[in-house]
Amino acid sequence: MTFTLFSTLATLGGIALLAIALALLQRLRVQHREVEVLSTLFWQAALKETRARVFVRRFRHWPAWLLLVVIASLLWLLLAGPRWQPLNPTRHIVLLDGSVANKTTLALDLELATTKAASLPIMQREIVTAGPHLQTLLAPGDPIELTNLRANLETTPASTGIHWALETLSSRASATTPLAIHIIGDVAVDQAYLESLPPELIIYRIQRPPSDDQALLRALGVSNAKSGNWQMVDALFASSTPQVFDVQQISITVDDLPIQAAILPTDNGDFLIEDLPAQGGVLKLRHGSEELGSLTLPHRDAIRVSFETGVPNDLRELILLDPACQETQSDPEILIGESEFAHFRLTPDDQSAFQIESELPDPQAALAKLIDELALTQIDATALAERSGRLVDVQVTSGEERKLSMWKTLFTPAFNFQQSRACPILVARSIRWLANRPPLVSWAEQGMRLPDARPAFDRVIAQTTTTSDGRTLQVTRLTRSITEPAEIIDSPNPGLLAGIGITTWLGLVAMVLLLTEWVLYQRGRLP
Amino acid sequence: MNDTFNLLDPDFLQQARAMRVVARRVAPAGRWAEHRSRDRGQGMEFRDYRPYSPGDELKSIDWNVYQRLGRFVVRLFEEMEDLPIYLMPDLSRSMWQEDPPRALTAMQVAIAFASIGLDQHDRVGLLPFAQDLNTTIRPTSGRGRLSLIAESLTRAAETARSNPQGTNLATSLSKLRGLRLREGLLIIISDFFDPHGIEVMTSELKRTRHRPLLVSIGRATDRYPNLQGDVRVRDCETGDMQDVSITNTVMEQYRAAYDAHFQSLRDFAHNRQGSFLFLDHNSDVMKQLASLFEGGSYVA
Repeated sequence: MTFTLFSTLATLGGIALLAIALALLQRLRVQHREVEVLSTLFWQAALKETRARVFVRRFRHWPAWLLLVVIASLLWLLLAGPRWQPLNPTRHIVLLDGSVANKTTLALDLELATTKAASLPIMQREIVTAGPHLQTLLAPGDPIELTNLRANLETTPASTGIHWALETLSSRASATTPLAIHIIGDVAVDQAYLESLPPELIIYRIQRPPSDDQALLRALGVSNAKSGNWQMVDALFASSTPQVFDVQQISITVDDLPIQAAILPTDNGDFLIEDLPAQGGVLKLRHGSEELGSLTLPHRDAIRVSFETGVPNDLRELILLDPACQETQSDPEILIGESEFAHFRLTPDDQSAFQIESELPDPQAALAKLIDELALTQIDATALAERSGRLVDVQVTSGEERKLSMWKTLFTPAFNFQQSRACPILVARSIRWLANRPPLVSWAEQGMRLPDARPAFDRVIAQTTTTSDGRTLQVTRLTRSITEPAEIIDSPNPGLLAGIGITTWLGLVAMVLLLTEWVLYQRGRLP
Repeated sequence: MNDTFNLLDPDFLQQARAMRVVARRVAPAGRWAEHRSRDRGQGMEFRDYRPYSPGDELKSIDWNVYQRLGRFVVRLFEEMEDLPIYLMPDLSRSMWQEDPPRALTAMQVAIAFASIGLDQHDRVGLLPFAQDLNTTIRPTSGRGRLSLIAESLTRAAETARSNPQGTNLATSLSKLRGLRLREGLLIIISDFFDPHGIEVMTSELKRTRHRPLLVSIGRATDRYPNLQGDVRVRDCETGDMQDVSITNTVMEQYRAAYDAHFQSLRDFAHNRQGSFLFLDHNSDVMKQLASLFEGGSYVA
């Protein structure tokens, strides 16, 4: 057991002081005023029935003192704010999918979440909604009533799905403190993603009860625009009741401004809205007078890049093929070149092959994170080492801003690196990391998983393109693989008393003891 | 408290004399001064006849009966004899605790009874007691003996006050039995706060041949002590201490014990054809006694 207000030593010391103080008070209670009387004959007879309050001399009322000490100690412990160290250290997060705002569904989800959280250990439970950001509705130790107060805040629909939330929350899991995430509703989670999670992270699902109130909208999400415009996204939605769904009655607004966009049916029976501005606006779909749902579109400004002289042409064209990048001559976000001011710096071969300057204070942790984020693992380092005759190493340092440097010769014909699949992945991810742009997860879904996702930037697919000088280059784009939704086990039902905290138990015990003392006192069993 | 006990104070003697008058006024019915003896024999009042037997005085034969019936019978007369009065005032430590002390009241009561007894030509003995019996004056008669009794009682009181002792009525009564005094009226004047308890007192009283008159000197605060909170009561005689938390329940039980104690004394006196008197120490004791006698409350 730990205490939030006092240290354990102070708490125990307080109990000892209370015991001493009560002992002294007991003694004070029997500081008898001495009176000389003619005879104690009648007092002796009277006291045969009712004993005087004697603490020390006769040891008669030790139980009374002990009872008082226990009651006072319990109250003191309550004041100290005890926190029970449970036998099962698993922490629980009840996760609300806030990617798509639907009032009916959200209210139902919130009710499910509070019911579930109330049954979990109070110090090990959280309610988190995955909107644009992770918003904690209920922190560990908070009374459950706070959830509803915080839920009254206006919820903002997110543009991303729940995977990023799982990924963020998964960092809290460790071998000593496993984490259980209880996802409300039927939001899909990729099986591959689920399998990639660390073993100390357990995903449960809390099924919504069947409801007669069927929402028309089954799923809603965005992906990269089919047109290739980085600053546009396509929205795809699926209807749960296609038989009554009328496309003509669909109205679209972004930030409450009507958008004239075509709604195209897909082969799978879903509907696609193309080229919505990715400026962070709130997309709302209405079917007649009924609001189907809403979703926050991503904010996808173009990454302004600028090239110094001497940048290999292949690298330049590779970057400009990326629809997220836009060349500019003034106020660039990313400067690419050989100077020391360049964010993406090309270095001679006598330096480390890859040098990364991260704002993270721990270089080791930064290296572990960036190797995967920048797809450095996809580089065939052995081949590079054979061709260069040098050790291909990655050096990570801490700095004030993000910078990245790599050998300039990697982008020359001397190496075959620019023809590899890893090259565009590395460059694209590097540019995004330097610009601090969050990756777009393909679909934020509500309801069943959309079967058809638009290309995103997580998986390599092969494409060819022709450069300005007539050369044909094989380039790659990134997309996220859309796999079968995972089967997630249902969240287990807790025990009847699982949600009662230790403070409640202590208070109950104190109350029972107080009642006991009162009864004993009334019956003359205590002085 | 006065340094000396002037029991022969003219005012006090005047009061005692007045009470004697009161006693006389009540006495003609024969309740107080003239005590019939159980022995029949020579006396002034005819009681019965019985057949003559050798050894009887010839002058006791009723010759008139012989002339009429031809039989010798002897006339029996009821003998009139004095009633010895044994005064046992309690001079133990508890009787000296207050101001004025209860012992002074006890002494006044003793003198009053002595005065009445001597006036009725009874023999009066003075036997003050505390831890033990003090045979100050063996039974004596004569009105002039009152001053002697008062002086003796004063001396005994001064001694007891300078060297106070606890109460042991049982021991005192045991010693009284050893004196083999003639059967009489035993007047014990005390607070009856004997630490040995009521059973010891009454069992020892039963062994005496005397008719008991128990005179309790008390105060209202004996039954309703003015105590509150947590007190440690200390017995003035034994030094025993008792911790008491005063509550209504405790006070009720105290009063029950007090009442039971004195009810036992009252019952005992009644069963032995005696009497129990309660005199309030805070009031004029002579007036209380006068009132008792005048109202005929006491019949010896």
